[in-house]
Amino acid sequence: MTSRTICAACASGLLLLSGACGGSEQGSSQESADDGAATVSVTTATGLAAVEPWARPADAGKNTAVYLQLENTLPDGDSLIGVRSEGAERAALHESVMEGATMRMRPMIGVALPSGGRIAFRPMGPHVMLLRLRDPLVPGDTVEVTFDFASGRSLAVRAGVRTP
Amino acid sequence: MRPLVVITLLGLSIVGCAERPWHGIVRSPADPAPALILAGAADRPVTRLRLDSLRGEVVVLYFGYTHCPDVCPTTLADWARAKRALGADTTGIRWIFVSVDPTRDLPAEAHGYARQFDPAFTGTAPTDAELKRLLTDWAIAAYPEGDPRTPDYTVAHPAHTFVVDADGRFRLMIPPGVRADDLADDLRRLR
Ligand SMILES: [Cu+2]
Repeated sequence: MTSRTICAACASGLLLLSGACGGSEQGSSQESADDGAATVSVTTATGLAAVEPWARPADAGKNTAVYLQLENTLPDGDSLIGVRSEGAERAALHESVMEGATMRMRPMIGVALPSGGRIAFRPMGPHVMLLRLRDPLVPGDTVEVTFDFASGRSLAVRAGVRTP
Repeated sequence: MRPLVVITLLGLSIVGCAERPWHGIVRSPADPAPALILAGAADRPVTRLRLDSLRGEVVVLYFGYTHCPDVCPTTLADWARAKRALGADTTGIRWIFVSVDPTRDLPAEAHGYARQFDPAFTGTAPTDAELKRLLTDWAIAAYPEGDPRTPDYTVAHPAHTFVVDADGRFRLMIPPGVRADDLADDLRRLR
């Protein structure tokens, strides 16, 4: 039953990529996104927007995750191909997945972001993983991550650090 | 006549209580919890762990690793919220984080990590030999993914929080995503 719940969450995340933003997604990031435009913290002229970015606190040298929703309001689709951050030795697009009774992480490569579509990064699901933080992240800090797209566009996002 | 009615009602209410569903997965039969004995760090007694010495207390257990970016901190933050939901008096409940990444985590480090979520949480880490034994005893999986000689490997680990009751029986498995209030509710019933 549990793995089914998790898989349903995964599946709804995938559905979101095709622009089918129904009410099926789980997690707190979805609730806050529904609050409307007031929560859009970063929007760029490129038509790509980051909604409610936040990062977990963690010690220097450790790993952490950044969560947000990426939205594409452009007339054309794009594809997320990478992420980078000055705040860590390495950044990666990851997904937590439950297999049987075991939790694993796997890399996400080339995530489609169609016109009007959205990618939801959320706890226990897709996340931006920051590996080996250069400095500790404590609540109140911010950390910048930059998303790179297949079109050559990029989107820099400043995420506030907070405990969920 | 009247006493009979009272008894019947009592019986019904007992059945009603017994059927209130748990939020975690109930283990049936609730066998004694497997052994869990970790030597810990010599200079930090708090990182030593002998599960069978904790009879009389409900033990909330998680097997993770301190480099875990997403699932472990989400779980421990949920524990912290559940602990707050239980109110000021949380005596009788032990919250223990056990690292399954002995290559990177020392007992004291795992302890410091757990305490970041709540000062009452404790953490420890096994030796390689202790890890091997505990994975067998608990019938759980944990293994590095990626090259463990590089700093960026990840660790697959059990998804559930395990709950051992005050009699030392392995009672509940709390799936990821169970709300903190619901975890608190289950723990309140076991305490
Ligand atoms: Cu990850």
